[in-house]
Amino acid sequence: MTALLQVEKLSAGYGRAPVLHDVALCLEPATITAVLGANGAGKTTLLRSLSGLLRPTGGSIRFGDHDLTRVPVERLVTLGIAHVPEGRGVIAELTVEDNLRLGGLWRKGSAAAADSATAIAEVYDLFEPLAQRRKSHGHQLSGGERQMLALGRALVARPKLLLLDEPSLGLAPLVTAHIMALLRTLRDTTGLTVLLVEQNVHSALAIADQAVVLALGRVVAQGPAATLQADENLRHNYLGF
Amino acid sequence: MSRFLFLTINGLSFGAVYAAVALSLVLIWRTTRVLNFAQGAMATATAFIALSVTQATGSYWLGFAVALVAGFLLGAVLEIAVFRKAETASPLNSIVIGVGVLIVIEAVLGMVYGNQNSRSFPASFSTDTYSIGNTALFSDQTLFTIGSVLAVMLALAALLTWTPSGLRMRASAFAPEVARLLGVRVGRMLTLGWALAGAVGALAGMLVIPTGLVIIPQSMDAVFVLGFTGAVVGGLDSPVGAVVGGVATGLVLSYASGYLGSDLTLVAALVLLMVVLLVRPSGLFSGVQARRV
Repeated sequence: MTALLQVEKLSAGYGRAPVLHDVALCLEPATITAVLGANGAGKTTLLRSLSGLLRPTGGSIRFGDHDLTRVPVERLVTLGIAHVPEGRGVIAELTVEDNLRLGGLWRKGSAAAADSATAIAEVYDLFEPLAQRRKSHGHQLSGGERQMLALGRALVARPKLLLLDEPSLGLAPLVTAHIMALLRTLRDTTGLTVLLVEQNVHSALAIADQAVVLALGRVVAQGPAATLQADENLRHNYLGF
Repeated sequence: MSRFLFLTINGLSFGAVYAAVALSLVLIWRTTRVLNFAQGAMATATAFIALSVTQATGSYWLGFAVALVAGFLLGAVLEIAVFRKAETASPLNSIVIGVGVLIVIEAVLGMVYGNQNSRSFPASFSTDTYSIGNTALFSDQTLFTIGSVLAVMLALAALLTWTPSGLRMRASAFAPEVARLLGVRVGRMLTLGWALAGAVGALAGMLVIPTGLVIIPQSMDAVFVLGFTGAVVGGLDSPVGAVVGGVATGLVLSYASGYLGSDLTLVAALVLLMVVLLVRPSGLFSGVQARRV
C-alpha cells in the first residue's frame, strides 16, 4: 500500500530554537495515527510544520505527488488536507452557518456552491446541536459545540487527511467519546486518514491504528497502537500511566 | 426649531463624510491593525486627480468616477508596496510609515499642483440652499452627500455580509491563520480591504472639499482628524460603529458650533473623544470578546 503522507527527517523550530529533530512518519490511507507525548514534546509543532504554518528547517513531507514543504498554506485544502488547530479555531465573531460556509469557499467551478451546500447539510446531520444553533455566533457556543463546529468545518472540505490538534482539550468525557467515535466511523465509511495529536492517551489509543510517541522533539516510539499500549516501560516513561 | 433642523441636517451631512473617513480607517484597522494616517492625503490626491480629469475632458462625473477608481487603486498599491511589510511589525512602525506616506503624498501634490489655493473645486450638485422662512436648511449637494454615503455604506454592508468575498474578508480580519488553513488568500483580502477603504475615502474627499474647504494638498487633514474621532467613538473594530461614530461626531460638532459658537467646534470634538474614551475606551460598538475556553 502506498503511503498517503510520508515524512522524513523533519526538523523544525521557532527562530533559532529547534523543536523537532529528524522526525519520520508514515500514514497509510484510511488509518488513524495518534501523536502522543508530554507538553512541549513538539506535537503541535509537528502539525504546524505539516500544514506549512511553520516552515520546516529540514527534511521532506510528501503528500501523494506533492512536496508539502513547498505548498502555500492556502492551497492545502485544495489538496485534501484539513488542519483543525489547537484551541479549536472556530471564528468566534462569525455564526455557525458562516463558519461552515467558510469551510467550502475554496471550491471552484459551477458545482462548487451545490457541493458545499450538500457537505454542510451532512455536517448538520452529524452534529445535531449545530443544526439548532445555525445563527448563533461562535462565542455563544459551549466548548463541545465549538469542537464540533471546528471539526464539522474541516469536514465540509471533504478532506483526505485530517490533522487534528487536541480535540479533547477541556471537553467533557462524553463529548470526547462522541468525537472519537465519529473519527473512527469516518475512517471506516469514507476512508478518512487522521493524524490525531492528543494529551488524552487513553481516548487516543482506543481509536488509533498506530501511534507515535514524541519526547523532546524526537520520535521515541512508533508502532501499532495496541503494542504501544501494552509496553509498560514506554507507558511509564513517556505516557505517564 | 428651524435652526435646530438646519443644524441637524448640516450635522448629518458632515457626519456622513466623517463616517466615510471613519469607515475607511476601520476597514484597514480591523484587518491589518494599521491605522492609516495617510487616508486623508490619499483622498486629497484623488480629488486632485478628479480635478485634472474634469479639466481635461470637461466631464465632472468622469472625474468623479476616476477619483473613486484612483482611490481604490491607490489603496491597493500602498498596501502591497508599502504597508504589507508593516502589518507584521509593531504598531508604531505602521504609524510612522503612515505619517511618512502622508508627507510624501502632500509633498508630491504640492510639487505637481502647487501649495496655493488657486483652483475652484466644483460640487456635484447645486449648493444653493432651500429655506423655510429666513432659515437655510439644505442644498442638493447636502442630499447627495448623505444619500451617496448611505448608499456606499449599504453596498459595503451587503458585500461583507452576503458575498463569499465578504465572508473571506471577515474571516481574514478575525482569524487570519484559520482563514489560510481554509484556503482563503488572506493577503488578497487585506489588499481588497485597503482598496475599498481608498475608494470610500476618495468619495469623502469628493463630497466635502467643495463644501467649505479649498483644494490644497492639506485639504483633508482636518477631516481626517474628525473622521478618526468618529472611528474611535464608534470603536475601531466595528464598521457599524464607524458610521454611527462619524455621524455622531458630525451632529455634536454642528450643534456645538451652532449653539455655542463656531470657535468651539474642535473643542467639542475633543470633549466627545474624551468622554467616550473615559466611559467606554474601546468605543461604543466594540465587538464582544470571545470567551476563551
